[in-house]
Amino acid sequence: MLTIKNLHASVDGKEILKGINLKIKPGEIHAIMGPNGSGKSTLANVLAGKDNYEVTAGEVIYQGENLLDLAPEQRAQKGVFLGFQYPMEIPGVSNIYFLKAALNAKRKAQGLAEVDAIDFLQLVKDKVKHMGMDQDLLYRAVNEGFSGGEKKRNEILQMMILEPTLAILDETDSGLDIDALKVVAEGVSSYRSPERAVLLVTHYQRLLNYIIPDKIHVLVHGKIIKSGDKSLALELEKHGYGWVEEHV
Amino acid sequence: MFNAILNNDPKSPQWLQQLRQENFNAYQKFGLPTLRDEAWKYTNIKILSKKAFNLTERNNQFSLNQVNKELDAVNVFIVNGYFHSMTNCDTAGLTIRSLATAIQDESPGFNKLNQLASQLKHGFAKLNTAFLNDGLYLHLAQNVSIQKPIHVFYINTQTESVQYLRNLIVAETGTSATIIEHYVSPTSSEYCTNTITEIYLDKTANIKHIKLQTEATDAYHIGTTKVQQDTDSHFESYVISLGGKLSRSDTEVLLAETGCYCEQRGLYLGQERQHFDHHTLVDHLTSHCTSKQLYKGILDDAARAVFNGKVYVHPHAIKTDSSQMTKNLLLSDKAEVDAKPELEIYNDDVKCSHGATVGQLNQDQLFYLLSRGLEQITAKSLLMFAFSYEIIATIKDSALRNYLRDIILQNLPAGNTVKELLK
Repeated sequence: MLTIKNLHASVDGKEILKGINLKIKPGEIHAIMGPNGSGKSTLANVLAGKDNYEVTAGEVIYQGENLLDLAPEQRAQKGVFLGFQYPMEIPGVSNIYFLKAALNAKRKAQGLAEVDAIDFLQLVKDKVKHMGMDQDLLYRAVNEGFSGGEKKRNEILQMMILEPTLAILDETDSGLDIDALKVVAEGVSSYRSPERAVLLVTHYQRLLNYIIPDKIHVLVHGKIIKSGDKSLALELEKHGYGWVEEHV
Repeated sequence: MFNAILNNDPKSPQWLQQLRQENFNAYQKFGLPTLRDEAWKYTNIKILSKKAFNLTERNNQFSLNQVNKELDAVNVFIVNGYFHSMTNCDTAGLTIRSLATAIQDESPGFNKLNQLASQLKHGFAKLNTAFLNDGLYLHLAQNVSIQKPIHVFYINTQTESVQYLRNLIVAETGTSATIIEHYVSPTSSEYCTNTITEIYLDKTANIKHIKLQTEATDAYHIGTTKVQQDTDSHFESYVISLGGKLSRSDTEVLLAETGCYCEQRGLYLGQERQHFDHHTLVDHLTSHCTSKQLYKGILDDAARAVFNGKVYVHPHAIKTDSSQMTKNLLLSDKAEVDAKPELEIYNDDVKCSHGATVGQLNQDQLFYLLSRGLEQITAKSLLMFAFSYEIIATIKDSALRNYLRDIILQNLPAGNTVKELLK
């Protein structure tokens, strides 16, 4: 589904990603782990199309198409979803309108009719309940005045409504208490299917107690220095990132 | 146009004829403001002063079908500067009529006319008084409270004309009302509106005043709202400027007695080569008054805006609480804003703040919306709408707020799409 070949990217002339290679198949969950400043969030943002990153080399093939040629909104319409590390507040726009706008934008791009208002409301209410969120949050401005945990749950709620093919979750676990972490993990697990893939970007191992990835990659200084199965996360937890650097 | 001969109606009262003549003489002596006048430094009216516009003529044939009256309100129509008609309204204590008739009949409070406006020194104000003839007269008798908004339409139907409007609003003790002064053009045409509205609030009066300027993109608008507040009165001003080629709107409030509350909010959305200029003045003459100001603007293409807000706190105005803020978004390299907050304080026992920001659309917010699949133009319009909406969010009457919201949306690039999203 996603093939990243020798991806190099810079911000303000400083190279952050120094040759990333990664292949994700449908149905798989991959985790990218790494210390602060290793380039994890840069990778997530480059895949979603944020424009202050400059791709200097390499390619990203998503479902047979060069992802880097597409505008961010086109990527989203084709099923790429980025769960933000710091979700933005959008004052003046209520959460439910925003969800509907996003879903309809995707449906329109796919040549589908707009979602029926009543069906949509029912769908959203079910998912909100599933995420253990307060219904009131739907009628408040997007993320405005939400707690850190509410913002992260809201990201997963959006993912569940939009049903992306590839979900990239950028440190969705950071700043969550254990209950919220469980809810978020359940959300991701319920989203899992043979046609979909997930790229989890995380600093800590703890999320991986609840979501078992197929593969774990360790990103250090803009390069994947080690890949392995779930046991790699435990080794990292025990020995730290320094240990991996020394043993590759 | 401004060399017109003074059309001094000999049937007018002697004092009025004299007032017109004095103001015409003053105009002839001092002329129109130039860039050398501090208050007009960023607004060049040279192009306007060269126009050969005629004085508007009465148009009783004008069909009101051409006006969008979708807000449930007491509608008043003033066409080409002359009081035209109004919807039936028999609320006791509310008097709305032609200013000319009110002067003739010496209606209650008519003698307040020009008490505030006479303080205006520039040539446009002098001309306005020199051509003082008709406009709105609105009187609220003691303790009268009007629930429905009063929607006053000022309509110009005559191309290459200048319309002089003079409006007098007198709110006696204990009254409350919402008054919308809405400047419109039924067709796209070039003309000039020169308007002055005086508003007098007696003790504890509570007035919400909305000035909505949606004139044709070839129109010029020069207007001042002059307000005086008595003890414990409450005044809210909303100035929403969307139309016109060049639009100047001043709001000057005198807090004459203690315990007054005055809030001023403004919004301007500029495109192409539109020019907006907003000057505000809050004059804290006495103690224990509060004033708040928030003006916001979005400028695209080669649009320009000026915001000059002045708060003046006199020596006796202790316990003054005043804040002033202006926030602007520039969407193009050619757009420009000149923001000039001014604070003059002559005693130590006050709480005053002011600030100004000029920025661009928040790129992180924009990316967030795009990453959810929204089209560029929709995402940008949504952020512009969210930025603008703050100005009217304080209006509690949801019908009125939605009416204003829809007018704002009509002036955004993908406003209709955003409107759909808000359903």
